[in-house]
Amino acid sequence: MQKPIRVWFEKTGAAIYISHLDLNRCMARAVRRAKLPIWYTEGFHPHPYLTFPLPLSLGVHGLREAMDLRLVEDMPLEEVKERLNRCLPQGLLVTGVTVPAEKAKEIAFADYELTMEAMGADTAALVREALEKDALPVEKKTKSGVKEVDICPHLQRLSVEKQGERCLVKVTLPCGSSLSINPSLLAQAVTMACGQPVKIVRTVRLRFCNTQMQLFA
Amino acid sequence: MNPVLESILMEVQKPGRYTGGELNSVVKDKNAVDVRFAFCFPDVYEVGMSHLGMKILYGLYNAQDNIWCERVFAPWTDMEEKMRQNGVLLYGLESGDPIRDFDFIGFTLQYELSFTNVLNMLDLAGLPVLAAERQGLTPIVVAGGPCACNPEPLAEFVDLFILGEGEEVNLELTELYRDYKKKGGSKKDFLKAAAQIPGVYVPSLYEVRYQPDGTIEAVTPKEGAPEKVTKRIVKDLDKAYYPDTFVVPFLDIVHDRAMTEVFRGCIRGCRFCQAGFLYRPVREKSPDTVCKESRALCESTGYDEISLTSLSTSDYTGLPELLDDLLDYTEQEMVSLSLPSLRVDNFSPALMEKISRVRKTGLTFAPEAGTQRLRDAINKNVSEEEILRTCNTAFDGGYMAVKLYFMIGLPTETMEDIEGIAKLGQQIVNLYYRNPNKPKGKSVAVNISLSSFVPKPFTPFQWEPQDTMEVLRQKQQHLRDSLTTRKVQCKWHESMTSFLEAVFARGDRRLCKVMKLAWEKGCKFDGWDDQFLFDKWMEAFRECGIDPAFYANRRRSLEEVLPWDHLDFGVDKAFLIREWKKAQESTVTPHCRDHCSGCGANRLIGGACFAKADSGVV
Ligand code: SF4
Repeated sequence: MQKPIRVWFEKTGAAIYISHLDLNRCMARAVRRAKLPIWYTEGFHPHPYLTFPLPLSLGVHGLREAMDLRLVEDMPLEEVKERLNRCLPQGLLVTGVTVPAEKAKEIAFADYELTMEAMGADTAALVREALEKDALPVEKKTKSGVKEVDICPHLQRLSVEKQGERCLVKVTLPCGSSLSINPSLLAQAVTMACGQPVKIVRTVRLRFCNTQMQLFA
Repeated sequence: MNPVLESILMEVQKPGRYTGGELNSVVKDKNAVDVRFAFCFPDVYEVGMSHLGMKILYGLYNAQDNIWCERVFAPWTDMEEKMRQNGVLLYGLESGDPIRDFDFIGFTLQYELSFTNVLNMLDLAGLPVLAAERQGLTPIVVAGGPCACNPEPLAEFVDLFILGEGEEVNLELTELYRDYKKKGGSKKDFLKAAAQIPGVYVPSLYEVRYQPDGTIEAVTPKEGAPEKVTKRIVKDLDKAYYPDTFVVPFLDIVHDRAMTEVFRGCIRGCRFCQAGFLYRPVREKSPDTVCKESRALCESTGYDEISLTSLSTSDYTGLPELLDDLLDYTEQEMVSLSLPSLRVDNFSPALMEKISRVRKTGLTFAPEAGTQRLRDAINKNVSEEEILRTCNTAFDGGYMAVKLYFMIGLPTETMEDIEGIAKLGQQIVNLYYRNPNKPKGKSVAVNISLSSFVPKPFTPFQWEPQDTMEVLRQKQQHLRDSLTTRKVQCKWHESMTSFLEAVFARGDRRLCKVMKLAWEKGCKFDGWDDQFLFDKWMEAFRECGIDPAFYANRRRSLEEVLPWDHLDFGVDKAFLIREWKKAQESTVTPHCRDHCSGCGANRLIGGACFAKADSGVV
């Protein structure tokens, strides 16, 4: 038998500095230690087969990340969760295990919380001022070179909350295979619009959503 | 995490080097321990985390309730810059606390070219680099590892050195320290008392006098310190501490796998090899212990590869038995097994068969020299016929690449020996094409890796001069000219780093000021080609009025007092002299299991090394 399962996990604390490649290896080791009955690749050097529907960049906190595995023996999903949690380093925590309802390619959006800071300025005011503009051009690196893109139409479910000199921006950004906007572009857009350097000091990816902007399951 | 640190981590390469929090890293309550130990590896994380000795001592210390040992590595230059800019002091990865406040700061000295990093790390910790300027009891700066066999070039920076294997002496030392801490003793008194522990060398308690020609006249102990400090060893490896778990890094490190040590020491006695003499005598672990330890490590780490380590794993008497047991486990658990440091001569087809069940990567051999005469002189007991036979077996088994390690600049070497390297390469190529079982239509690659010989303390070549950089370059060129086929590729290392290595390997205390000056001029990470500043080093030598050739390129007389003569690693000087003479005559010495040559190291275990071997000279 091969039963696909989806492991939901958090990546926080020191674990945010684990790159995607390293996360893959780290999870494979946890799966081994947990002695999960999962499918291993064939060949001379078999290793646990795991895939990540949407990789997370280094330095970003993830609160509802996903990893797909295939069980080769039945095991209660709750037990998969418990076994994995016993074997994961701090900062990685499994919050649930489900049977995947959607395919990875359904992922189209992600919700973020960005803490932004402009040295010595009221960041919230700056960000609000920038968002008033009709267009927010940024330089986006693509395969065919640097391209100018207006990110304005892609900012959805946006809110700006003042937090002292810093501000907290909540936003939904496209992250599908056809279009993807990296949250760092928002800092670049605000910087360009206001002529004052604004940076993101903390990026949290809360969850990802399907093409209908509903929670990916 | 400290917010300043957090803000710089995103601005450096591989922040995972600096965060800690890896699986199996040990976090304790700092108020519940009475000794905090910063275990420092003076190189980057990926290199240091690959080192077995550190894993053993980390586990050992942390197995004690009242000690908390943390790991510290040399921050790469980008991180160092950020730390200095933001006033972040060098910290322990487990707690994030500055190591300046720890009880011990311990360095492991694996290679001479990491010495400047020791200074740099002390400085990054916010401490004076000179031991004399650190007056309080804490932190005590200690160092061990193979380069502690001649610690003189670091004598002014380190408070005390630990000679030999650390499993027992380290705990004795922390025990003593605890008393002094409790009663508020001074650093001076503590060091005096520490010098009485066997295996502990306190350089400030020895006075060195020089002759007009620059050689050493005498080294005299003061304040009751012993005339000779003898290294420590663990007698029974089956009873010794071995970690049942390793810290599992997030980053891809150099050796990212479980490692089980199968024995210490080496029976071979290759005359250029310092490790072969330093770690004598041979002590094996039983296959049962190795098997148990390997399994425990895999279970607790999730590693899918185990490596059986030693200086020469095919000399392990329990290898066939061990492989039978272990392969059953590894195959079932889908763990792969690797056997580094295999030798050519006892590489039987049966062993080959077992290894091929393990993994088919390239084959590596270390003939070290190109002719039989020179191989005899260095006591590398490998014949051309054996090398060719093994290569043939390997080609039968489907191998297409062979890597060969050679050294140039060996004592008694001539240009004929250099040509011999090229000839051997060519013979292996020919052998491949004559082999009927070779993979169809595929070409062979013979890769030659060339290093420059560095004479080391406690070897029969400790009196030998190193070839000058110019001669080494001529030899490299000659080898290049002697190669007649593209199927043999040759790579070598810059001779400048080997030169500096030779200076420090056999240096004395007068080099401390050169080292400090070179470090002040920006030298660090000298083992990294892209960081190595040869001109700065030469500047430092010049400004200190010290000629590096005096240490590297001078033939020393057998009567000369050597900077490490007051240290005893078990091997008698008389034995080394006998071996040196045999080298001049290209005469070989049988290996220890065949015949004991009376090196003296068996005194450390209080009996013969091998039940079967002749007692020889004692
Ligand atoms: S005492 Fe004899 S057997 Fe033991 S290490 Fe020395 S030479 Fe080898």
